[in-house]
Amino acid sequence: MSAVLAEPSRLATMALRETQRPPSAPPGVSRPGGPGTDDAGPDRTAVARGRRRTRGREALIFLAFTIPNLALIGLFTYRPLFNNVYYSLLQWNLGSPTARFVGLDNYVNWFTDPHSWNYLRITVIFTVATVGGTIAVGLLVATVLNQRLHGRGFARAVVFAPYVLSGVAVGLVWMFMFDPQFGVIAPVIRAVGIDPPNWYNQPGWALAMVIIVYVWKHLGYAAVVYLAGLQIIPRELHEAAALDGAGPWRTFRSITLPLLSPMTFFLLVTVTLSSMSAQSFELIHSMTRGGPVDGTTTLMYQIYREGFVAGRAGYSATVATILFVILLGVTLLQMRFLERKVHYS
Amino acid sequence: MPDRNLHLPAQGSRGLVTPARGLLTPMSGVTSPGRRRLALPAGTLDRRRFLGLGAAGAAALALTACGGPSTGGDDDADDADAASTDDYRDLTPASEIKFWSVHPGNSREADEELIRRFQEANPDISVTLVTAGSNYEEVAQRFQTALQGDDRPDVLMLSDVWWFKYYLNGTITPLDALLEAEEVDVDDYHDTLIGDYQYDGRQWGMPYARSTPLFYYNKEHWAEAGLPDRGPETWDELDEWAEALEANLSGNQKVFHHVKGASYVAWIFQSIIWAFGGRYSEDDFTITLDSDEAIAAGEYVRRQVNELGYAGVTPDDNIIDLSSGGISCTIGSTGSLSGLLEGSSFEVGAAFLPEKEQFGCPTGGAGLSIPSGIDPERQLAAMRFIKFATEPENTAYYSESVGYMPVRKSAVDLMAEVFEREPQRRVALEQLEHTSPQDAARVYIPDGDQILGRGLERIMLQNEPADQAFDVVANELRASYEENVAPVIG
Repeated sequence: MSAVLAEPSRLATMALRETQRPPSAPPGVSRPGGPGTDDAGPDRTAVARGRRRTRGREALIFLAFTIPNLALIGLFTYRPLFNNVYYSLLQWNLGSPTARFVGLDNYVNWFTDPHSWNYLRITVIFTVATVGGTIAVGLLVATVLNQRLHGRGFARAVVFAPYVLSGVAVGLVWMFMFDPQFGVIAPVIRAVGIDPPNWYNQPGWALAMVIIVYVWKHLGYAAVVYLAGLQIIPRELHEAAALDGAGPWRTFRSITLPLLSPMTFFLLVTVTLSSMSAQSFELIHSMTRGGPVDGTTTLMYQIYREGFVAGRAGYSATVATILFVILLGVTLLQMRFLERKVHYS
Repeated sequence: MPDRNLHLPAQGSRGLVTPARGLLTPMSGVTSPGRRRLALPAGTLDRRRFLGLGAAGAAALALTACGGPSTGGDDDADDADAASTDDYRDLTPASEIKFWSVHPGNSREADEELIRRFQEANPDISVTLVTAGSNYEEVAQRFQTALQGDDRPDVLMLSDVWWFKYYLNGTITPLDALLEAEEVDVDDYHDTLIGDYQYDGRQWGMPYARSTPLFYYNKEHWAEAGLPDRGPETWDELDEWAEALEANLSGNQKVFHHVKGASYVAWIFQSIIWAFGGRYSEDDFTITLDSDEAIAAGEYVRRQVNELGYAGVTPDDNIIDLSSGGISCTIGSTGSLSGLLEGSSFEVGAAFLPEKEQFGCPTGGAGLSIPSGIDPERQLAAMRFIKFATEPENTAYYSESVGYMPVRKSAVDLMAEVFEREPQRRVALEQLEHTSPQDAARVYIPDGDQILGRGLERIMLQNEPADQAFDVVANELRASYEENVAPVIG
């Protein structure tokens, strides 16, 4: 019985490798007691038939295991995706029972609208700054929290906590802190002798404000991933480096960083995805609503605004499709060019 | 019917998000699934059940396969109206209805009190109050989403810039037959306030939380600066007074605060562009932002903020700025009046808006509409509630407790005592007589308010010349008109 149950997973690997293996040597044949070695007589066609039957049965079990998953992923991931692409070809006012098919008009509008490039520029700045900031500060915090300090467990919990807080609550509290008149940040900056910027009304500073809060909220996630990475680096390596006379910076650069590269890569992919898509929405919405003067309108926020404020569901779907293509491209590039540099020990 | 099916999977989808995310974990080194044997107890999940699950999945897929809008042409645009009827006379009103409100101006208690009074007078109809958002955008968004399912409200609060979008979409019902069935005295409603919801010869909403912009000032600041206890008659006068007011303010305080796009700067600026003799647009949707008067108005606010310097743009909420003593004066909605009178430690003055070439003042705020596509019985009950909520004594109560306009002519007499106690309220009512309906570009062109608001933000915050900013705005307004309005009313 257990042998039968083991089959589907093996079959899955088999299906993946099918193109690489010579057909004459199917896997599992040599395994004693496995279904592949049933009383094979001298008659070669009978063996082949038997194998075919077995394979047919295995395929059926394979399908039985995968179809529920595939169906659900198809239903909740791919169907909305394709629907979205279809909606992007419509002139459709949200809520309206009817829509007009306009072909690629929405795409033409997006590419010819001067605002689009501004939103794209803001998206790039926001993504680069949040991803870079989250990973860099996360690594720094993880390095500190990896030391033997008093209250380390508590500090780790505190660092991670913002990540699980509601973005709306975080955004509102930080808005109070950034308030140019009553906030706690303005006096701090003034104490240094600089005139505090008007975070609320200057587009560039508003963007900086949202980026700061985003990094603060998400660095705990990066820190936890890095902390796990730091703890599996063997002590011998550090000791060996110390014996060779390497200082702390050299050790960090030549041992710690390369050995953390799987975490860095993983974080690059996941933090980029979350920063460019849904995670940034709640902060932007609760803090600036994309303003002032569109200064914090990323593509993600534009999707919301076109769809739910302007009611242009078709155009909103167009922007969503464009963002999807960009995300896909960025992720593929990361996989293609960065994964090579990853050092899996 | 696609509408209902969309509902079920939407809830199920929540649980499915995590497995999808899990796809990323193999990178972090989880043992390859192929190496291990599944230790499932025999019998719990046999092949047949698995196939059954697969079939269920396929069925769910088929269920949700329909949905979204129809692109078959404009013929079925009236589908939503099909459930409505023109004759409500023989119907009994439904026994329960839902009222979606945003409680503008902190009016939750007032909403609740009106519902209590209504249920007392109509014991056979119960009203559920739903806080459908914290501002007009959120309630509109929620309604747009509800249109995809069957959880529609019966009475819906819509702001001045939203109801027309639903008219264009055919998702609110004309009220004429309902008004007749419930014998509503439409002549007693204030003409401008009820006229705002008329289009195509029919009535699409009834005034409820209606407001006008009002000039608010800090009487203490006024007295310290030696100014007469009244608002400035003209913008020029405010420019003159600003110097005396500024003398008593600290370095980073401003005399006057404008608002930003999110607080409907295009609504308040409308009174300024009118005062200068310009308009956003003609009634036929011709954009008139390139007129000399319009540009002069835009240049005026640009100079006010960037050159004269006594005016600024509120970081967040100009009413809070005023009540906390941060500024000396501002323009805000009458819906903020009660909050200001209660929340300020000093006496707040209210005055007519300043003039320039002429006086200009729009109306605004929210009205109540009834969605199309719900049972006529519910629509009838909804109209009974709307009628009740705007009865003279009820609108007087609502006006007194929140600050919005009494929407009935005969309610004014009921408020004599309130006017005596708080004369600021009388100012608002007197100004109402001089209001005009808003420009089509702001209230009828979808997103027009926000398009105008973004342009005004550029003028004030980035010192962009008005003609340049208005040129961009005009193009965006025309594009939205061509895309959203022209195909429907064409």
